[in-house]
Amino acid sequence: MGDTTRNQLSAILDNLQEIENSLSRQNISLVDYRTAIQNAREEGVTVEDSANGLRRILENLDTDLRDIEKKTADTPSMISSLGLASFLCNVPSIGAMSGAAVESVNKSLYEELISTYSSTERSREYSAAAHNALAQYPFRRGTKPNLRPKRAESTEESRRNLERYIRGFSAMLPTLTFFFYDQPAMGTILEVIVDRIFRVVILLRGSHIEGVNVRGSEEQHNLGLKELRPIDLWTPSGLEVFRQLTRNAQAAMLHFQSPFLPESSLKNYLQWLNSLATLFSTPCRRCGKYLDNGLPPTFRDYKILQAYHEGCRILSFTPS
Amino acid sequence: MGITWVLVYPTPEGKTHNQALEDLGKQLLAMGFEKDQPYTVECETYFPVFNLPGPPKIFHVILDSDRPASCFLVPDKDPLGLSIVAERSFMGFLGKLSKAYSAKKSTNVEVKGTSYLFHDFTVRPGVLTIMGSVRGIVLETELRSCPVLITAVELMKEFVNTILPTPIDAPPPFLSSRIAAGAIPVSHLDTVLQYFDMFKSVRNSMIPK
Ligand SMILES: [Zn+2]
Repeated sequence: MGDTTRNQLSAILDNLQEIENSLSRQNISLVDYRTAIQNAREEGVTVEDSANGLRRILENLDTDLRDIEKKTADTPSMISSLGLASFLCNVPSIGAMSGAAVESVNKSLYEELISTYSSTERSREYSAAAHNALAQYPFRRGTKPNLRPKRAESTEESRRNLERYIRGFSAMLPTLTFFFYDQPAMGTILEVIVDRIFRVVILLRGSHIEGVNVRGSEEQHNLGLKELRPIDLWTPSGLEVFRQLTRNAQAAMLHFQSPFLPESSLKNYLQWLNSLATLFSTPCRRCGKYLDNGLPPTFRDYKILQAYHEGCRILSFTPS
Repeated sequence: MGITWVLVYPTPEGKTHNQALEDLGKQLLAMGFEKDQPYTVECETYFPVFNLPGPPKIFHVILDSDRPASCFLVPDKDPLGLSIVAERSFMGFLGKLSKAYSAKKSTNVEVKGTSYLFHDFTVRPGVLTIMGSVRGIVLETELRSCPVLITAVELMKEFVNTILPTPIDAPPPFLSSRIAAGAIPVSHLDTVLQYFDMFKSVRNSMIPK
Protein backbone atom coordinates (compact mmCIF):
# COMPACT_ATOMS: atom_id res chain seq x y z
CA MET A 1 0.00 0.00 0.00
CA GLY A 2 2.92 2.30 0.78
CA ASP A 3 4.27 1.78 -2.73
CA THR A 4 0.98 2.72 -4.31
CA THR A 5 0.97 6.02 -2.45
CA ARG A 6 4.47 6.72 -3.53
CA ASN A 7 3.63 6.02 -7.17
CA GLN A 8 0.69 8.33 -7.02
CA LEU A 9 2.82 11.07 -5.52
CA SER A 10 5.51 10.70 -8.14
CA ALA A 11 2.84 10.86 -10.87
CA ILE A 12 1.66 14.18 -9.43
CA LEU A 13 5.22 15.39 -9.33
CA ASP A 14 5.61 14.45 -13.01
CA ASN A 15 2.52 16.47 -13.93
CA LEU A 16 3.88 19.49 -12.09
CA GLN A 17 7.19 19.09 -13.86
CA GLU A 18 5.35 19.04 -17.18
CA ILE A 19 3.50 22.25 -16.38
CA GLU A 20 6.69 23.95 -15.39
CA ASN A 21 8.38 22.84 -18.63
CA SER A 22 5.53 24.05 -20.82
CA LEU A 23 5.66 27.43 -19.07
CA SER A 24 9.38 27.83 -19.48
CA ARG A 25 9.16 26.74 -23.14
CA GLN A 26 6.93 29.71 -23.77
CA ASN A 27 9.30 31.93 -21.81
CA ILE A 28 6.49 32.61 -19.49
CA SER A 29 6.83 32.82 -15.84
CA LEU A 30 3.59 33.42 -14.06
CA VAL A 31 5.06 35.92 -11.72
CA ASP A 32 6.53 38.01 -14.56
CA TYR A 33 4.03 38.10 -17.44
CA ARG A 34 4.99 41.72 -18.26
CA THR A 35 8.48 40.55 -19.19
CA ALA A 36 6.93 37.76 -21.27
CA ILE A 37 4.83 40.22 -23.28
CA GLN A 38 7.89 42.42 -23.76
CA ASN A 39 9.90 39.43 -25.07
CA ALA A 40 7.14 38.43 -27.47
CA ARG A 41 7.04 41.99 -28.87
CA GLU A 42 10.78 41.99 -29.52
CA GLU A 43 10.48 38.67 -31.39
CA GLY A 44 7.93 40.29 -33.76
CA VAL A 45 4.95 38.41 -32.42
CA THR A 46 1.79 40.45 -32.16
CA VAL A 47 0.12 40.95 -28.85
CA GLU A 48 -2.94 39.02 -30.04
CA ASP A 49 -0.81 36.00 -30.97
CA SER A 50 1.05 35.97 -27.76
CA ALA A 51 -2.19 36.43 -25.81
CA ASN A 52 -3.70 33.47 -27.66
CA GLY A 53 -0.57 31.42 -26.94
CA LEU A 54 -0.85 32.38 -23.33
CA ARG A 55 -4.49 31.40 -23.22
CA ARG A 56 -3.66 28.03 -24.71
CA ILE A 57 -0.97 27.45 -22.13
CA LEU A 58 -3.30 28.50 -19.36
CA GLU A 59 -5.93 26.09 -20.65
CA ASN A 60 -3.35 23.29 -20.64
CA LEU A 61 -2.34 24.41 -17.18
CA ASP A 62 -5.92 24.29 -16.10
CA THR A 63 -6.28 20.73 -17.43
CA ASP A 64 -3.04 19.67 -15.77
CA LEU A 65 -4.06 21.23 -12.46
CA ARG A 66 -7.43 19.48 -12.58
CA ASP A 67 -5.54 16.31 -13.21
CA ILE A 68 -3.35 16.88 -10.17
CA GLU A 69 -6.35 17.79 -8.11
CA LYS A 70 -8.11 14.61 -9.15
CA LYS A 71 -5.05 12.49 -8.37
CA THR A 72 -4.60 14.17 -4.99
CA ALA A 73 -8.21 13.54 -4.14
CA ASP A 74 -7.77 9.88 -5.12
CA THR A 75 -4.81 9.41 -2.76
CA PRO A 76 -5.87 8.49 0.73
CA SER A 77 -6.27 11.41 3.14
CA MET A 78 -3.02 10.42 4.85
CA ILE A 79 -1.08 13.30 3.31
CA SER A 80 -3.23 16.00 4.77
CA SER A 81 -3.48 14.40 8.19
CA LEU A 82 0.20 13.95 8.96
CA GLY A 83 -0.13 15.92 12.18
CA LEU A 84 -2.61 13.54 13.74
CA ALA A 85 -0.87 11.45 16.34
CA SER A 86 -3.22 8.50 16.14
CA PHE A 87 -2.84 8.39 12.36
CA LEU A 88 0.94 8.64 12.54
CA CYS A 89 1.01 5.77 14.98
CA ASN A 90 -1.12 3.63 12.71
CA VAL A 91 0.69 4.47 9.50
CA PRO A 92 2.47 1.45 8.11
CA SER A 93 6.20 1.32 7.87
CA ILE A 94 7.68 2.94 4.81
CA GLY A 95 9.54 0.92 2.21
CA ALA A 96 10.18 -2.77 2.10
CA MET A 97 10.78 -3.07 5.82
CA SER A 98 8.25 -5.14 7.61
CA GLY A 99 7.89 -7.06 10.78
CA ALA A 100 6.90 -6.31 14.36
CA ALA A 101 10.34 -4.97 15.38
CA VAL A 102 10.41 -2.28 12.72
CA GLU A 103 6.82 -1.50 13.44
CA SER A 104 7.57 -0.83 17.13
CA VAL A 105 10.71 1.23 16.34
CA ASN A 106 8.66 3.42 14.05
CA LYS A 107 5.97 3.69 16.61
CA SER A 108 8.35 4.87 19.33
CA LEU A 109 9.92 7.31 16.87
CA TYR A 110 6.55 8.78 16.07
CA GLU A 111 5.70 9.04 19.71
CA GLU A 112 8.94 10.86 20.36
CA LEU A 113 8.26 13.13 17.46
CA ILE A 114 4.82 13.93 18.80
CA SER A 115 6.05 14.70 22.28
CA THR A 116 8.78 16.94 20.86
CA TYR A 117 6.22 18.66 18.72
CA SER A 118 3.87 19.24 21.62
CA SER A 119 6.60 20.54 23.91
CA THR A 120 7.80 22.90 21.18
CA GLU A 121 4.25 24.03 20.68
CA ARG A 122 3.83 24.57 24.42
CA SER A 123 7.02 26.61 24.71
CA ARG A 124 5.91 28.73 21.76
CA GLU A 125 2.59 29.32 23.50
CA TYR A 126 4.28 30.25 26.77
CA SER A 127 6.73 32.60 25.14
CA ALA A 128 3.87 34.33 23.34
CA ALA A 129 2.07 34.79 26.65
CA ALA A 130 5.27 36.00 28.30
CA HIS A 131 5.84 38.42 25.46
CA ASN A 132 2.39 39.91 25.95
CA ALA A 133 2.91 40.25 29.66
CA LEU A 134 6.34 41.82 29.27
CA ALA A 135 5.09 44.25 26.64
CA GLN A 136 2.91 45.86 29.31
CA TYR A 137 5.95 46.89 31.36
CA PRO A 138 8.48 48.78 29.32
CA PHE A 139 11.83 47.66 30.63
CA ARG A 140 13.69 49.50 27.96
CA ARG A 141 15.98 52.20 29.21
CA GLY A 142 15.71 55.70 27.93
CA THR A 143 19.36 55.79 27.13
CA LYS A 144 21.75 53.16 25.95
CA PRO A 145 22.57 50.88 28.81
CA ASN A 146 25.98 51.59 30.18
CA LEU A 147 27.85 48.32 30.12
CA ARG A 148 29.93 49.37 33.07
CA PRO A 149 27.35 50.93 35.38
CA LYS A 150 28.44 53.61 37.78
CA ARG A 151 28.92 52.22 41.26
CA ALA A 152 25.90 53.08 43.38
CA GLU A 153 26.55 55.85 45.85
CA SER A 154 26.72 54.50 49.38
CA THR A 155 24.49 56.00 52.04
CA GLU A 156 27.52 57.43 53.70
CA GLU A 157 28.76 59.11 50.54
CA SER A 158 25.39 60.59 49.71
CA ARG A 159 25.09 61.80 53.30
CA ARG A 160 28.49 63.45 53.05
CA ASN A 161 27.61 65.17 49.77
CA LEU A 162 24.33 66.33 51.18
CA GLU A 163 25.97 67.62 54.34
CA ARG A 164 28.47 69.59 52.27
CA TYR A 165 25.68 71.02 50.16
CA ILE A 166 23.53 72.08 53.12
CA ARG A 167 26.43 73.48 55.12
CA GLY A 168 27.12 75.61 52.06
CA PHE A 169 24.00 77.69 52.55
CA SER A 170 23.26 77.08 56.24
CA ALA A 171 24.44 80.61 57.02
CA MET A 172 21.29 81.76 55.24
CA LEU A 173 19.20 79.74 57.68
CA PRO A 174 20.35 81.02 61.06
CA THR A 175 17.56 79.44 63.10
CA LEU A 176 18.17 75.91 61.88
CA THR A 177 20.59 73.45 63.48
CA PHE A 178 21.34 70.38 61.37
CA PHE A 179 22.20 66.85 62.43
CA PHE A 180 22.93 64.17 59.85
CA TYR A 181 22.51 60.45 60.41
CA ASP A 182 23.18 57.45 58.15
CA GLN A 183 20.53 54.82 58.20
CA PRO A 184 21.55 52.32 55.50
CA ALA A 185 18.14 50.72 55.54
CA MET A 186 16.28 54.00 55.15
CA GLY A 187 18.61 56.58 53.65
CA THR A 188 19.92 59.75 55.16
CA ILE A 189 18.08 61.22 58.09
CA LEU A 190 18.32 64.94 58.54
CA GLU A 191 17.22 66.20 61.91
CA VAL A 192 16.60 69.91 62.00
CA ILE A 193 16.12 71.79 65.24
CA VAL A 194 14.29 75.01 64.60
CA ASP A 195 15.40 77.69 67.01
CA ARG A 196 15.23 75.27 69.97
CA ILE A 197 11.44 75.35 69.64
CA PHE A 198 10.78 72.15 67.75
CA ARG A 199 12.52 69.40 65.84
CA VAL A 200 11.87 68.21 62.32
CA VAL A 201 12.99 64.87 60.99
CA ILE A 202 13.46 64.67 57.22
CA LEU A 203 14.09 61.35 55.51
CA LEU A 204 16.13 61.78 52.34
CA ARG A 205 16.98 59.48 49.46
CA GLY A 206 19.84 61.16 47.73
CA SER A 207 18.60 64.73 47.76
CA HIS A 208 14.95 63.78 47.42
CA ILE A 209 12.75 64.35 50.44
CA GLU A 210 10.84 61.21 51.20
CA GLY A 211 9.12 61.99 54.45
CA VAL A 212 8.88 64.57 57.19
CA ASN A 213 7.64 64.68 60.77
CA VAL A 214 7.54 67.56 63.26
CA ARG A 215 7.73 67.17 67.02
CA GLY A 216 8.34 69.22 70.11
CA SER A 217 11.87 69.96 71.30
CA GLU A 218 11.61 67.32 74.03
CA GLU A 219 10.07 64.63 71.85
CA GLN A 220 13.28 62.85 70.87
CA HIS A 221 13.79 60.72 67.77
CA ASN A 222 16.55 58.75 69.57
CA LEU A 223 18.95 59.09 66.66
CA GLY A 224 22.13 59.52 68.69
CA LEU A 225 24.72 56.74 68.57
CA LYS A 226 24.63 56.30 72.33
CA GLU A 227 20.86 56.31 72.40
CA LEU A 228 19.50 53.20 74.09
CA ARG A 229 15.90 53.60 73.07
CA PRO A 230 14.86 52.50 69.58
CA ILE A 231 14.78 55.09 66.81
CA ASP A 232 11.36 56.62 66.53
CA LEU A 233 10.79 58.87 63.55
CA TRP A 234 7.12 58.75 62.73
CA THR A 235 5.11 58.71 65.97
CA PRO A 236 3.03 61.88 65.77
CA SER A 237 3.77 64.59 68.29
CA GLY A 238 1.81 64.67 71.52
CA LEU A 239 1.31 68.38 70.93
CA GLU A 240 -1.46 69.57 68.66
CA VAL A 241 0.51 72.44 67.16
CA PHE A 242 3.20 70.08 65.89
CA ARG A 243 0.72 67.63 64.46
CA GLN A 244 -0.78 70.48 62.48
CA LEU A 245 2.70 71.65 61.54
CA THR A 246 3.53 68.14 60.30
CA ARG A 247 0.55 68.25 57.94
CA ASN A 248 1.65 71.64 56.63
CA ALA A 249 5.26 70.51 56.34
CA GLN A 250 4.15 67.51 54.28
CA ALA A 251 2.09 69.73 51.99
CA ALA A 252 5.09 72.05 51.61
CA MET A 253 7.29 69.07 50.83
CA LEU A 254 5.04 68.23 47.89
CA HIS A 255 4.89 71.85 46.83
CA PHE A 256 8.64 72.33 46.71
CA GLN A 257 9.36 68.96 45.14
CA SER A 258 11.04 69.12 41.78
CA PRO A 259 12.26 65.81 40.36
CA PHE A 260 14.96 67.34 38.19
CA LEU A 261 16.39 69.78 40.72
CA PRO A 262 16.15 67.90 44.01
CA GLU A 263 18.88 69.91 45.66
CA SER A 264 17.36 73.30 45.03
CA SER A 265 13.98 71.97 46.08
CA LEU A 266 15.57 70.87 49.35
CA LYS A 267 17.04 74.33 49.79
CA ASN A 268 13.68 76.02 49.23
CA TYR A 269 12.10 73.61 51.65
CA LEU A 270 14.64 74.38 54.37
CA GLN A 271 14.06 78.08 53.81
CA TRP A 272 10.38 77.48 54.35
CA LEU A 273 11.18 75.60 57.59
CA ASN A 274 13.43 78.43 58.67
CA SER A 275 10.47 80.81 58.48
CA LEU A 276 8.69 78.72 61.12
CA ALA A 277 11.14 79.82 63.80
CA THR A 278 8.65 82.60 64.48
CA LEU A 279 5.90 80.07 65.17
CA PHE A 280 5.07 81.55 68.57
CA SER A 281 6.26 85.10 67.99
CA THR A 282 4.50 86.26 64.82
CA PRO A 283 0.84 87.22 64.59
CA CYS A 284 -1.29 86.01 61.73
CA ARG A 285 -1.03 88.04 58.55
CA ARG A 286 -4.79 88.01 58.06
CA CYS A 287 -6.39 88.41 61.50
CA GLY A 288 -3.46 90.02 63.32
CA LYS A 289 -3.78 87.69 66.32
CA TYR A 290 -1.30 85.22 67.78
CA LEU A 291 -3.83 82.53 68.58
CA ASP A 292 -6.75 81.16 66.69
CA ASN A 293 -8.63 78.40 68.47
CA GLY A 294 -5.70 77.91 70.83
CA LEU A 295 -3.09 77.47 68.09
CA PRO A 296 -0.51 79.84 66.61
CA PRO A 297 -0.20 80.50 62.87
CA THR A 298 1.21 77.19 61.60
CA PHE A 299 1.14 77.99 57.90
CA ARG A 300 3.67 79.97 55.88
CA ASP A 301 2.80 80.86 52.31
CA TYR A 302 5.25 79.46 49.77
CA LYS A 303 6.30 82.72 48.17
CA ILE A 304 7.01 85.35 50.79
CA LEU A 305 6.70 83.08 53.83
CA GLN A 306 4.07 85.05 55.70
CA ALA A 307 2.35 83.53 58.72
CA TYR A 308 -1.27 82.42 58.64
CA HIS A 309 -3.55 80.51 60.96
CA GLU A 310 -4.94 77.28 59.60
CA GLY A 311 -8.41 78.82 59.31
CA CYS A 312 -7.12 82.15 57.97
CA ARG A 313 -5.07 80.38 55.32
CA ILE A 314 -8.18 78.77 53.90
CA LEU A 315 -9.93 82.13 53.81
CA SER A 316 -6.92 83.87 52.27
CA PHE A 317 -5.82 81.36 49.68
CA THR A 318 -9.06 79.91 48.40
CA PRO A 319 -9.17 80.66 44.69
CA SER A 320 -12.10 82.95 43.95
CA MET B 1 7.91 71.16 79.64
CA GLY B 2 6.70 74.44 78.22
CA ILE B 3 6.80 78.01 79.35
CA THR B 4 4.60 79.02 82.29
CA TRP B 5 3.24 82.25 83.60
CA VAL B 6 2.09 82.38 87.22
CA LEU B 7 -0.27 85.29 87.83
CA VAL B 8 -2.63 86.61 90.45
CA TYR B 9 -6.24 86.30 89.37
CA PRO B 10 -8.02 89.31 90.85
CA THR B 11 -11.12 88.31 92.79
CA PRO B 12 -14.05 90.52 91.76
CA GLU B 13 -15.58 92.84 94.36
CA GLY B 14 -18.26 91.27 96.55
CA LYS B 15 -17.17 87.70 95.98
CA THR B 16 -15.20 85.29 98.11
CA HIS B 17 -12.07 83.78 96.64
CA ASN B 18 -13.69 80.36 96.55
CA GLN B 19 -16.73 81.72 94.69
CA ALA B 20 -14.43 83.45 92.24
CA LEU B 21 -12.51 80.20 91.63
CA GLU B 22 -15.74 78.35 91.02
CA ASP B 23 -16.88 80.99 88.55
CA LEU B 24 -13.52 80.87 86.80
CA GLY B 25 -13.86 77.09 86.45
CA LYS B 26 -17.27 77.51 84.82
CA GLN B 27 -15.89 80.23 82.55
CA LEU B 28 -13.05 77.96 81.40
CA LEU B 29 -15.44 75.09 80.63
CA ALA B 30 -17.62 77.49 78.67
CA MET B 31 -14.56 78.58 76.69
CA GLY B 32 -13.98 74.98 75.64
CA PHE B 33 -11.37 74.00 78.24
CA GLU B 34 -11.32 70.45 79.49
CA LYS B 35 -11.25 69.65 83.20
CA ASP B 36 -8.16 67.60 84.04
CA GLN B 37 -7.15 66.76 87.61
CA PRO B 38 -6.71 68.34 91.05
CA TYR B 39 -3.32 69.68 92.03
CA THR B 40 -1.51 71.20 95.00
CA VAL B 41 1.57 73.38 95.26
CA GLU B 42 2.97 73.56 98.79
CA CYS B 43 5.72 75.60 100.35
CA GLU B 44 7.35 74.83 103.72
CA THR B 45 9.94 77.13 105.21
CA TYR B 46 12.84 75.77 107.26
CA PHE B 47 14.52 77.82 109.98
CA PRO B 48 17.77 76.99 111.82
CA VAL B 49 17.12 75.65 115.32
CA PHE B 50 20.12 77.42 116.83
CA ASN B 51 20.73 81.06 116.39
CA LEU B 52 24.17 81.28 114.90
CA PRO B 53 25.96 84.59 114.42
CA GLY B 54 25.04 86.39 111.25
CA PRO B 55 21.73 86.47 109.36
CA PRO B 56 19.71 83.22 109.74
CA LYS B 57 20.01 80.85 106.78
CA ILE B 58 16.42 80.17 105.81
CA PHE B 59 15.34 77.89 102.97
CA HIS B 60 12.07 76.83 101.47
CA VAL B 61 10.93 73.48 100.14
CA ILE B 62 8.33 73.62 97.41
CA LEU B 63 6.39 70.57 96.27
CA ASP B 64 4.12 70.31 93.25
CA SER B 65 1.69 67.38 93.03
CA ASP B 66 2.06 67.41 89.23
CA ARG B 67 5.82 66.74 89.74
CA PRO B 68 5.52 63.89 92.23
CA ALA B 69 9.14 62.79 91.90
CA SER B 70 10.79 66.15 92.56
CA CYS B 71 11.22 68.59 95.38
CA PHE B 72 12.52 72.09 94.95
CA LEU B 73 14.86 73.62 97.51
CA VAL B 74 14.87 77.39 97.36
CA PRO B 75 17.15 79.47 99.61
CA ASP B 76 15.69 82.69 100.92
CA LYS B 77 18.60 84.66 99.50
CA ASP B 78 19.45 84.43 95.79
CA PRO B 79 16.77 81.91 94.83
CA LEU B 80 17.62 82.22 91.15
CA GLY B 81 21.26 81.33 91.63
CA LEU B 82 21.20 78.69 94.35
CA SER B 83 17.97 76.74 94.03
CA ILE B 84 18.19 72.98 93.75
CA VAL B 85 15.89 70.43 92.17
CA ALA B 86 16.13 67.15 94.09
CA GLU B 87 14.39 63.81 94.16
CA ARG B 88 11.35 63.61 96.38
CA SER B 89 13.25 61.18 98.63
CA PHE B 90 15.33 64.14 99.69
CA MET B 91 12.45 64.99 102.05
CA GLY B 92 13.52 62.00 104.19
CA PHE B 93 16.96 63.50 104.51
CA LEU B 94 15.42 66.79 105.66
CA GLY B 95 13.76 64.88 108.49
CA LYS B 96 17.21 63.81 109.67
CA LEU B 97 18.23 67.43 109.84
CA SER B 98 15.45 68.18 112.33
CA LYS B 99 17.98 68.91 115.09
CA ALA B 100 19.49 71.73 113.02
CA TYR B 101 16.54 72.88 110.87
CA SER B 102 12.85 72.78 111.51
CA ALA B 103 9.83 73.80 109.48
CA LYS B 104 7.47 76.34 110.94
CA LYS B 105 3.97 75.15 110.17
CA SER B 106 2.72 78.69 110.62
CA THR B 107 4.48 79.79 107.45
CA ASN B 108 3.13 77.03 105.17
CA VAL B 109 1.68 78.24 101.93
CA GLU B 110 -0.54 76.14 99.72
CA VAL B 111 -2.22 76.54 96.34
CA LYS B 112 -5.01 74.09 95.62
CA GLY B 113 -7.21 73.74 92.59
CA THR B 114 -8.00 71.81 89.41
CA SER B 115 -6.09 71.93 86.16
CA TYR B 116 -7.75 72.47 82.80
CA LEU B 117 -6.52 71.66 79.30
CA PHE B 118 -7.04 73.67 76.13
CA HIS B 119 -5.17 72.52 73.01
CA ASP B 120 -1.48 72.80 74.00
CA PHE B 121 -2.22 74.95 77.05
CA THR B 122 -2.56 73.76 80.63
CA VAL B 123 -4.25 76.20 83.01
CA ARG B 124 -4.11 75.72 86.76
CA PRO B 125 -6.34 78.06 88.75
CA GLY B 126 -6.20 77.54 92.51
CA VAL B 127 -6.81 79.25 95.86
CA LEU B 128 -3.78 80.40 97.80
CA THR B 129 -3.90 79.67 101.52
CA ILE B 130 -1.50 80.79 104.24
CA MET B 131 -2.00 79.33 107.72
CA GLY B 132 -5.47 78.18 106.78
CA SER B 133 -6.64 81.56 105.59
CA VAL B 134 -7.52 82.04 101.90
CA ARG B 135 -5.53 84.92 100.45
CA GLY B 136 -6.41 84.93 96.76
CA ILE B 137 -6.47 83.09 93.46
CA VAL B 138 -3.40 82.04 91.51
CA LEU B 139 -3.57 81.34 87.79
CA GLU B 140 -0.78 79.31 86.25
CA THR B 141 -0.72 79.02 82.46
CA GLU B 142 1.59 76.65 80.64
CA LEU B 143 2.13 76.53 76.89
CA ARG B 144 3.38 72.96 76.67
CA SER B 145 4.58 73.25 73.08
CA CYS B 146 6.94 76.17 73.57
CA PRO B 147 10.12 75.74 75.61
CA VAL B 148 11.65 79.18 75.05
CA LEU B 149 10.39 81.98 77.25
CA ILE B 150 11.39 84.92 75.11
CA THR B 151 9.66 83.79 71.96
CA ALA B 152 6.06 83.71 73.11
CA VAL B 153 5.61 86.77 75.34
CA GLU B 154 2.99 88.42 73.16
CA LEU B 155 1.21 85.15 72.50
CA MET B 156 1.00 84.34 76.22
CA LYS B 157 -0.26 87.84 76.95
CA GLU B 158 -2.99 87.41 74.34
CA PHE B 159 -3.94 84.06 75.85
CA VAL B 160 -4.07 85.03 79.54
CA ASN B 161 -6.01 88.17 78.66
CA THR B 162 -8.80 86.00 77.29
CA ILE B 163 -9.16 84.58 80.84
CA LEU B 164 -8.31 87.49 83.14
CA PRO B 165 -11.09 89.95 83.97
CA THR B 166 -8.66 92.88 83.70
CA PRO B 167 -6.03 92.60 80.98
CA ILE B 168 -2.35 92.72 81.80
CA ASP B 169 0.23 94.29 79.51
CA ALA B 170 3.44 92.75 80.87
CA PRO B 171 4.58 89.27 81.87
CA PRO B 172 4.83 88.35 85.59
CA PRO B 173 7.54 90.50 87.23
CA PHE B 174 9.77 87.53 88.06
CA LEU B 175 9.88 86.52 84.38
CA SER B 176 11.09 89.88 83.15
CA SER B 177 14.60 89.17 84.38
CA ARG B 178 14.50 85.69 82.83
CA ILE B 179 13.27 87.05 79.52
CA ALA B 180 16.03 89.66 79.58
CA ALA B 181 18.55 86.82 79.97
CA GLY B 182 17.74 85.68 76.42
CA ALA B 183 16.40 82.59 74.74
CA ILE B 184 17.20 80.03 77.43
CA PRO B 185 15.03 76.94 77.59
CA VAL B 186 12.79 76.83 80.61
CA SER B 187 12.70 74.22 83.38
CA HIS B 188 10.27 73.40 86.17
CA LEU B 189 12.33 75.55 88.45
CA ASP B 190 11.20 78.60 86.47
CA THR B 191 7.61 77.76 87.39
CA VAL B 192 8.42 77.02 91.03
CA LEU B 193 10.37 80.23 91.43
CA GLN B 194 7.41 82.21 90.11
CA TYR B 195 5.27 80.62 92.83
CA PHE B 196 7.95 81.41 95.35
CA ASP B 197 8.10 85.02 94.22
CA MET B 198 4.35 85.29 94.64
CA PHE B 199 4.33 83.57 98.07
CA LYS B 200 6.96 85.98 99.26
CA SER B 201 5.05 89.05 98.17
CA VAL B 202 1.80 87.75 99.66
CA ARG B 203 3.59 87.01 102.94
CA ASN B 204 5.23 90.42 102.96
CA SER B 205 1.89 92.06 102.32
CA MET B 206 0.59 90.27 105.43
CA ILE B 207 3.32 91.56 107.72
CA PRO B 208 1.97 95.10 108.16
CA LYS B 209 -1.40 93.68 109.22
ZN1 LIG C 1 -5.39 84.38 61.65
